[in-house]
Amino acid sequence: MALRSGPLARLLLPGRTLVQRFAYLFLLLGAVGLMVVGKADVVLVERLRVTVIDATAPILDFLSHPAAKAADAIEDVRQLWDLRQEMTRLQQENERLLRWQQSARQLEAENVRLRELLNVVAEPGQRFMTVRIIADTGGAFARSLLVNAGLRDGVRKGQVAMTAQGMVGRVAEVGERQARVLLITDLNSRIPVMIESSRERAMLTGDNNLRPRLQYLGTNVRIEVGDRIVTSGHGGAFPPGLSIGVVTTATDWEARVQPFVDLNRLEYLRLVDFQLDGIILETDRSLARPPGRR
Amino acid sequence: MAGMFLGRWLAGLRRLTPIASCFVMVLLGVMPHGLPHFPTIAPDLTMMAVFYWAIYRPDLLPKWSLILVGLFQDLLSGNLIGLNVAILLIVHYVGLSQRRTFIGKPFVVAWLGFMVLALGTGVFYWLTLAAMSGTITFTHAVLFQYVLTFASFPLMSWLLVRAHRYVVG
Repeated sequence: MALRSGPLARLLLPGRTLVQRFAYLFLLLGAVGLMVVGKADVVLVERLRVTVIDATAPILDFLSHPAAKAADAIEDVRQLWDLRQEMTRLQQENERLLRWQQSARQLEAENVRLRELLNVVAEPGQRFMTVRIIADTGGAFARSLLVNAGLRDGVRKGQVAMTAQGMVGRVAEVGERQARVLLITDLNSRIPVMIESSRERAMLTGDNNLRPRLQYLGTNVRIEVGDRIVTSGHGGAFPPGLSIGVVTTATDWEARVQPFVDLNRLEYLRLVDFQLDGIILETDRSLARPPGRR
Repeated sequence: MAGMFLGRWLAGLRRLTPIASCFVMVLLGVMPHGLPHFPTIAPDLTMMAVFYWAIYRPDLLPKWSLILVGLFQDLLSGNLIGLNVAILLIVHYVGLSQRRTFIGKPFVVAWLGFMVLALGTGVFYWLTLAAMSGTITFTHAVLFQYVLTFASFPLMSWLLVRAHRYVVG
């Protein structure tokens, strides 16, 4: 109040109106500054994100329950329509799977025998946990999910998010009680993959489309619609052989992959720890800096 | 005495409705719905709330609050940090500077205004992201999101009008 009428206020008035007039511009420039800083200091932004996500965890968790119920109800009604068709399809599939199971058992037994014969080094074990999705963030420009498990549950950065059908993404940020999973369709997702039949390598890059792109294929690589794409294991971030999807577009200038998992209908995920160390962690990055700049 | 204090406290609380509604919109925006294709094309609800309050009660939605709301949205969604802050500031500026155009006019005028504004911010969003990530990608989801955003504006406005009338007073 005193500021508005006193002599000091009269002195400050021109400055105040100037600030008022340009307030939007200043704030807007501030926002642009934030974008640049956010792009440069990834570690700081990640810490901020984790803090905010942890703080909102209880609310998001609470909100996601009725949302999931409503989604289930809609799905139930939808499924009633094609119940009979679905049953025939499942019976056929079951028959086919039983045959597969038979051959899988035989192959497993054979595999064990051959490993024993060759003295193969055992692969590191894997642990997994099932988590529920509590928020679907992003929108048209980014694709990620929040799940209801974090550091205290054993979630670590770099773990692979999967469903029974295949890979969904990887854990990108971990809070105390929540974690963010970056989907394979996100703009920032890069996964080393290979064509399952020919073992040709490529990079699966997300661009926010439902079907991510295959890039950096060799020049004489033949790729066809229907080819299955699996992780290649190069770079050490993911184990080789995880199913990802099937090629749906294969032209001279573009190849796209339809993921096996329907990324729009996810409710639960499995986070798998393959105990690999290909993901650079925060601590490693600070260690990698030259000593003078810490 | 205590009653008066409580009444004043409640009145103060009611004046926080616009800011609170913006935060609620952010949370609603990230709620998992399980509807096919919906997350990619979910309408930008926060933008609507900011536009509405900038026109009808700008005194209760100060500029600084937009920084909080925008940051919250950016941090929660994992998007480029600061991007939604900039968008909300633009929306607030346009709403506030053009409020005479919208106040007292039929609803369609505000709707049309929002349609143009959403197109502008959509282009801004896309260009900034392209500049910051160094790649230009265009998905149909962007178009659908735009259509859904301005198509759901009447429903959201209806809810905001109710909040305005009965809560803020």
